[in-house]
Amino acid sequence: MTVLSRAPRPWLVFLALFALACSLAAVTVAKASFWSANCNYATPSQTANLTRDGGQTYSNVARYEGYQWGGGCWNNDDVDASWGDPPENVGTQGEGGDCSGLTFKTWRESTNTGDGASYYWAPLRNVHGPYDAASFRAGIGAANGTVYKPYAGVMDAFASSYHIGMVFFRATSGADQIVEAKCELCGTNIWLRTYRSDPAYGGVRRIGWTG
Amino acid sequence: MDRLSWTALLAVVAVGGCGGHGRPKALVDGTKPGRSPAALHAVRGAVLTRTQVLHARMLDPSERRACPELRSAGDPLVVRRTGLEGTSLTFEDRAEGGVLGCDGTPGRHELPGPWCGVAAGKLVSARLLDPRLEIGCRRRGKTVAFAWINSLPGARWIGIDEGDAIEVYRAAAGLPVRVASSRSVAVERSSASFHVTQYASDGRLLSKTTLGAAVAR
Repeated sequence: MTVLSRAPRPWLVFLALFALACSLAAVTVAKASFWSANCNYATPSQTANLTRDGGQTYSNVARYEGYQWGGGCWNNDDVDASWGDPPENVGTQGEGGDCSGLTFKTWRESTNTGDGASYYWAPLRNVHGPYDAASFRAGIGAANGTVYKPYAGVMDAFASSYHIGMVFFRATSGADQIVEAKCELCGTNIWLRTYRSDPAYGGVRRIGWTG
Repeated sequence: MDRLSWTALLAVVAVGGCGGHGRPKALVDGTKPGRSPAALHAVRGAVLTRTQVLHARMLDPSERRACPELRSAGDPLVVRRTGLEGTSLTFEDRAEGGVLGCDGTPGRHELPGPWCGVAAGKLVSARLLDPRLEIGCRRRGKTVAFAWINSLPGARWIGIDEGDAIEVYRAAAGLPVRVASSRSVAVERSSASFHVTQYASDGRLLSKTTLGAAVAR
């Protein structure tokens, strides 16, 4: 403290500028978003395979990888690289999908709503797809349909106007283990949910499971 | 004027009438646009869209039944909009504290009736954090994007630049304004942008922005 107070004024100016430069450099590094650093826009590969257990495996990779509003890009290191981003902001470009983005990729859908064929999207291929939860709930899109809730099975889904989650396992209690991208703070995971008995939720399904 | 000159004149009129650069003469339902508000006389190419505020029970029954979000909503106040590219319904979701709606373009759709899309957004302090982009509708081979715009305090009119016209929407019922445009839609990125201007009731320009929107949730 004594040294600083006796230091000549130019040194104080230099220290202040040095600190400012360091903080600016840190901000610049932080600005490289997860999308720009890790994600790609490669053409998806059309595939004949569309199995429910394949869907389970695929969505399981997305667990612990975080949540991004309007997003659909994640790796497989079980760490959310952008935890706690501001909600409902696609500009944060963080890791993870949102609820409808996770469903779109797991269900191997096309960005063309009139196309019901299957496409494999690699986890790091950033895509959300044209549907939000309300669209899925209404069964919009050639690949999508509705299902009577008691009949909803593994990798079918429950959707409300504001959220969608896929059945990972059907629990004996009447609830379901649901795999879902839920929020910036809670990320993507499997939780026990009662969407099946919640009137706000309808049953929805991918049309064309091959197994 | 000889026969050739008449033919040439007719050809010029025909081309002028069909060309893409004239101001659109009809809304998406074939009706004429309203007269542009006097306060917006300085806005070149302004075309007034139709805005109706009515209770859900006053809608055409087929229109009401076909909108999934309206089925269990009771009889809310609905803002019905008809623009150059599409029609929409917007109403409050009192149960969840949000806004709900249905979007439509002419033609056949997977949903029954006039609707090809649905929308839902949560309100935070009477505003949407996200414009709730919907890109499932098509018209004349082009994807039509729908989004809600939060009107600024004091804003009476919202303009959407469509290139050859400025679509003018009237703010109504204190709800976000559902607009439609096919001008800047990127289906592969599930996103679209809207060139938005907002005007006060006296025509004063309040803001001019480009809204980037992406499909989310």
